Amino acid sequence: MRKQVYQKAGALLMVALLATASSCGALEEQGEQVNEQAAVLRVMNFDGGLGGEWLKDLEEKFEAAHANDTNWEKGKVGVDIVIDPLKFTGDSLGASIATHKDDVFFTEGNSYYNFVTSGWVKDITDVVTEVNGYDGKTIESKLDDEVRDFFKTNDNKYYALPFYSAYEGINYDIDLFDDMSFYFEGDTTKEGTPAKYVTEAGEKVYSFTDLSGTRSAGPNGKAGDYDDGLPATYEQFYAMCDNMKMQGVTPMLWNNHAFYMSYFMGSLQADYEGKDAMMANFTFGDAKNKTIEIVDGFNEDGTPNIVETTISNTNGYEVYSQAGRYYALDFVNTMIQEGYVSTKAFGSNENGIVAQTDFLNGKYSEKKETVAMLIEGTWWENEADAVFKTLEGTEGAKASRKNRRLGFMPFPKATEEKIGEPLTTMNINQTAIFVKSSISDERYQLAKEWIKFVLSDAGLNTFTKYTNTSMLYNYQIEDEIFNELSPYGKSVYEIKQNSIEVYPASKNELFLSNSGFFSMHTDAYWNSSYLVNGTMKMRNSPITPFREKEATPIEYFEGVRKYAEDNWERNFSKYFEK
Amino acid sequence: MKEQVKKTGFMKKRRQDLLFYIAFMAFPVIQFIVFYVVKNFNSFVLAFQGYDAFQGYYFNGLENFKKVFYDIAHEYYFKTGIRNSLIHYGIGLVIGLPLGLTFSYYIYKKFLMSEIFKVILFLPSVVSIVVMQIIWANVMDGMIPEIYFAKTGNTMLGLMANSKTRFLYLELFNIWVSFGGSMLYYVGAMARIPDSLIEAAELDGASLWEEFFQVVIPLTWSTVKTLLVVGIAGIFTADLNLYLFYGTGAETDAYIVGYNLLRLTVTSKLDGYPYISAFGMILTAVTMILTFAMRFVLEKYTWEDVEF
Amino acid sequence: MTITQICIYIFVVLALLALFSYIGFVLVKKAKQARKVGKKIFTADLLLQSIVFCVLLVYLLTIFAALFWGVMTSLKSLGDFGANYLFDLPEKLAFSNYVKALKLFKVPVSRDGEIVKITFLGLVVNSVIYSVGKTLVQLLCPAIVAYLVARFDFKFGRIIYWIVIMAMILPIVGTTHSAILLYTKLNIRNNIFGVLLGDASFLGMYFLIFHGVFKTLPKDYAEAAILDGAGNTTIMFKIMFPLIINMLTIVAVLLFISVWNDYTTIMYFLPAKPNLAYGLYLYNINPDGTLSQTPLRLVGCMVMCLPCLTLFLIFKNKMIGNLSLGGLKG
Repeated sequence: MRKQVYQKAGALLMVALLATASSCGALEEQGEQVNEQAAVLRVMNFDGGLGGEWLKDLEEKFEAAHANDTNWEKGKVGVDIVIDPLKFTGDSLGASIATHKDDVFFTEGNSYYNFVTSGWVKDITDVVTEVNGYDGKTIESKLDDEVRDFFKTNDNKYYALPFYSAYEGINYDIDLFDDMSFYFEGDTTKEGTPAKYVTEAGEKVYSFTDLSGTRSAGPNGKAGDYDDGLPATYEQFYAMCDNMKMQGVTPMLWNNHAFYMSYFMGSLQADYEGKDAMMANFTFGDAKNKTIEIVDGFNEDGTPNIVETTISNTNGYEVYSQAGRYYALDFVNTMIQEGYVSTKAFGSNENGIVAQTDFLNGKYSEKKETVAMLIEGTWWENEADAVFKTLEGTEGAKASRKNRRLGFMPFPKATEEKIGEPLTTMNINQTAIFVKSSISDERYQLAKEWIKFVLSDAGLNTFTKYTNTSMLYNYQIEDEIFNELSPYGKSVYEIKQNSIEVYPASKNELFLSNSGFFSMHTDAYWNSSYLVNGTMKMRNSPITPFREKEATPIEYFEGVRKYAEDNWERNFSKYFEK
Repeated sequence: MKEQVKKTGFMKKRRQDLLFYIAFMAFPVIQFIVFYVVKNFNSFVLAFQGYDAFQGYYFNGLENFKKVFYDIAHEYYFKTGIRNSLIHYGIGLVIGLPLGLTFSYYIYKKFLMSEIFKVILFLPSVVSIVVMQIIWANVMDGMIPEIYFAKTGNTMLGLMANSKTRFLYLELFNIWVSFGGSMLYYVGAMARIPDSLIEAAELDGASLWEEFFQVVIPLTWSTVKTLLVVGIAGIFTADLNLYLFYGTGAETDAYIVGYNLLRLTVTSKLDGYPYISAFGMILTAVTMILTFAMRFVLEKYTWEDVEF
Repeated sequence: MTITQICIYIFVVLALLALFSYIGFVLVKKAKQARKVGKKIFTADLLLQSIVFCVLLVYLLTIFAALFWGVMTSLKSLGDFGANYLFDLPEKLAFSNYVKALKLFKVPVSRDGEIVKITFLGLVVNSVIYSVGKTLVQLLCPAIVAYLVARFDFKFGRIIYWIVIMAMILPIVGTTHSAILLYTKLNIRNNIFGVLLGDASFLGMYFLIFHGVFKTLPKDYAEAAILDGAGNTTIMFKIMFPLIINMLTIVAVLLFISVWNDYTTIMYFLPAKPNLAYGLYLYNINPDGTLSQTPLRLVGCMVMCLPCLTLFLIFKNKMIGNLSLGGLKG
C-alpha cells in the first residue's frame, strides 16, 4: 500500500519534472539564424560581466549599412553578422581554433604571442594602420604606446587588438556620501570651520562637510573637479572610514574570491608606482626605465627605506620589493584590523553576486548593514543589472541603475607627498580581438571591415553606451551618449579621462613564457613565505594572515620578495641575461 | 560406449562454455586494457617526459621527480597537504567509523524510529553534494552571523572564515553528508548475521554492549576491514570538498593532497601533465606502502575473519 | 521578546517534553515485554539506546532544517532575498522563481567549433542519457564478469579476480590527466557513448559484491536448466540474473544516484555535453548576474534532487540491509 503511494508520488514527480522541463522548449539553442542570401561573418563574444547587448546593436547597424553590398561574397547580397556568446572561459580556444566556426573573436585571458607563434591568428596590420572610413582616424592612433608596442610584433605586424578595459577599485555610493556628509572639508586650518563630524586618525583631526561646504581638493590636489572632498591619502581614507563607523555605516565590503583582492592590491601598487615603474613588473629586463625604486628595510618609525636598483631578468624578483606593494598590503591590513571591512567579506558564501546584492540592498534594508564602498571591477554594475531591476521593483525608480548614483573612487595616495601625482589605473587582465588564420579569403575582407567598424569612434561609443565601461582605446564620448550613461558609467569615464592606464603585458621573453605566473589573477603575484613560530609558511593571499594577525604587513611584504627570490633562479634561469 | 558419449558430451559442453566465456569476457578485457592498462602506462611514461610547444613530449629523465621532491621538501602547501590528508583519514577512522557502526547497529536492531533514521542518514548521499555545499556555506557563513547580528547588533565572522576552525567545519561537513555509503554495507553485513547467534546472546543475558562487541562487530569485521583497506586509497584522492567551496583558490593552510592533485589537473595544460604524473606515481607508491601496513595491522591485531 | 517568540519557546519546550516522555514510555514498554519472555534488561542498555537516539534525532533535525531552508529560499523572490535575513521565511512563496530559472537556465558550450546553448530540458536529457547509460554499463560489466569468474572454473578467472583485488587495494593515483589525453587521442571526448565505453569497467566494489553472491548461489538451478536444454546465455540472463534481481536493483539505484550528481567526470570528459550537475556547478563558480543569485541557484538544485529522491523513496526498503560485501582475499 505504502509502496504504491511512493510509486505514484514518484511517477507524479517525474511527470512534473518532465513537464516543467519541456515547457522550456528545445534541448539546445543554436543561436542566431543564418541568412543564406547574405555574406556571413561569425563573431564570438566573451559574454561575461559586460554582456553582449552592445554587439547586438553594432551588428544591426553594420548589417543595415551594408544591406545592399554585393562585393563581399559572390552571389550574396548584404551581410549577416552571426554572434556566438561564450559565457564560460573554461574551454580554451587554442588548438581548436582552426576548426572553430567563428571567424572573429572578442576574448579575454588568451596569451597573444602563443597564438601568434602557433599560427592561429591572421595578420590584420592594414586594419590597424589604415585610415578608417568611418571616422577618418587609424585604429593605431587610438592605442596607448605600450599597448601598441605589445600588440605590434617585432616584424611590425598586428595579429590582434585589445578589447575592453577594466579596473578593479573602490566603488562608492555617492548618494550615501551626499546624505551623510562623508566629504572632507576644504580648509581644515580655517578657524571656526563648522566641522560637522570630527574623527581622529593618527594625531590629525579632520573635519567633514556636506555638499554645501567647501570640499577639499582630493587626491589630485586640484580643487573644483571630480574628486573634490574624496580622501586624498590613505590616512584620510581611514579617517573617513572611522567617520562612517561612528554613524553606523559599514565602510567597505569585498567578495571572497582571493584574486579580486589580488587585482585590487595590484591596482593600489600601480597608482603608487606610476606607469613606468609598474610596467617593470611585466617588462623586467626590457623595461623602458630600468632604474626602479625598491624598499630596502624599514626605518624605526615604520616607514620604508627606499633605494634605487637596476632591474633585469636575472634580478627580476626585485620588483617584488616595490614600495607600492608594501603600501597596498598596509592599506588592506588596516581595513581588516580597524574593522572597516564587513565581516561578511570573509564568508565562503559571499561570492561576487552576493556581495553586489548586499552592497546595493544595504541602505534600503533594516536587516542589512549599510555599506558605503564595494571593491569590485568596473564591469560589476553591468553584471548587477538584475539586482538593480529587482530593487527598482521594490524601492521605486530612485533605486534604478539609471538613477542610483554610484561612482568609482580615484585611489587615495599612500603618502602626502604623492598628492597631485596623476591617477594610474591598472587593466587587470589581457584581452584581445583577433581573426582566426583559417578564415576564408572572402570572409577575411569582411572581418577586417567589421573590426574597423566596431573600433570606429561610433562603435566604441556604442560599447560604452551599453556597458558603462570603455574599450582599451582613446576616444571621446559624444555628449548625447555621455548624458545617457548611468551615473556610474559617467564616473568610470571620468576616471578613464583623468588617469594613465597600465596594460599588464610586455614582449619580454621571461614574461611571455610565464605570463600565468606574473598575472594578478593567479596567486603567484602575492605569494609570500615567512616564519611563524619557527615554521616557514607560504600564503597565497594576505587576507587571512592579516585578519588572524599571523603576519604584519612588513612581514608579509618581505615574504613576498623572499618567495619570489627563492624560486627565481630555479624557475627562470634560462631567461637570464648572459 | 556410454562412457565415450558422456565424455564427448562433456567436451562439447566445455567447448560451448569456453566460447560463451570468451564471447562475454572479450569486451571487458579489451576495455580493461585500453582504459586501465594503457591509461596508467601512459601516465607512467609521462612521468619521465617534458613538453614544449615545438617538439611535443620528449624524454626528460627524472627531472619531474626531482621537481616534485623539491616541492614536497620546500613548498608549504605540500607539507600542509600531506598533514591534512592524514588528519582527514584519521578523523574518518576515529569518528566516522564508530559513528557509522553505531548508527548501523541502531538501525539493524530496529530501535525507536529506525525506519525514519534510515532514510535521513542516507538522504545526503541522494541529494547532490553541490546542493548540500550551497546550504552549508550559507548557514555557516551567512545565517549564523546574521542570527548573531539580529540578536546582539554586532557582527561576527562566519564559522568557515576562521582558519583555525575552517578545517574542523570542513570535516564536520564531510561527516555530516557521508553516513549513507558506509551504512549501506554495515547494515548489510549485520543483516547477514544468523538470528540464532543473536538469540543465543540474548538468552545468555548479554547486554547490548556485549552483543555489539562480542557478536556483531566480530561477525561484520571482514566488511569493515575491506572498507578500511579500500579507504586507504582515498587518503590522497579525497579533496575534502575544497574544490566545491573555493574553486582553485583555496588558502594554502587548508590544502589537502587530493585537492592539490585536482587543482593541478584542472589548471594544467599539456606542459603540466608530466609533473602530475610524477606526483601521482609518488603518491601511488606511498599508498601501496600504507595499504600493506594497514592490512598487516588489521590481520595481526584485530578480529579474524569469521566464516558463517 | 515578542509574544510569538515566547510562544515558540514554549512550543519547543513542550515538544521536547512530549518527545522524551514518549521515548521513556516506549522503552519501558519494551522492557516490560522483554521481562515477560524472560530476557534481562539493563539500565545501561536503555541509557545507551536513548543517547544514540538523541544523537540521531539531532542529526535528523539538522538535515531537515537544511533541506527546509533550501526549499524555502528557492521560493524567495529576489527582492525578498536581498532585503531580509537568510533565516527569514519568504514573505510570499514565489513559485515564479521556478518558471524564471528553468527558462533562463542555459549553459553555453563550445562544441565542434560552434557555440550552442543547452537549455534546461537539454541538460535534463543529457543527465538522463548519461545516468542511464553509465548505470547500465557499470552494472552489467561487473555483473557479467563476476558471473563468469564465479561460475566457470577457467584459470583466467583467477587472474581477473586477482586484478580486481589488486586494482582495489593498490590504486593508481593521479591519472585523470592521462585519461584526458587518451580520450582526446581516441576522439571520444565530448561523445557520450565514447565516454560510456571508458566507463564500462568491471573493476571495483560491485564486482566483489556480485562475485560473492554468484559464488553462494546453489548450482541446482543451472543444472536443471541445462537438462532442459538451455544455453549459457539463457542461463545467465534468464535464470541467474533474475535470482539476484534485488541486488542488481540496489546497485543500479546507487549507481544512478551517484552518476546523476556527478559533475567532475563531465568537467573532464564531456564539457560540451553538460548535465544538470555540471550546469549548476558552472553557475556556482562563474558569476552570472541573474542565475547565480542564491534563490535561483537553489531552484536548480531542488529540481535536480527530485529524480534521485523519488528513486530512493521507492527503493529505500530494498536498499538498506541487503547489500553485503565480503572480505578481500587475494
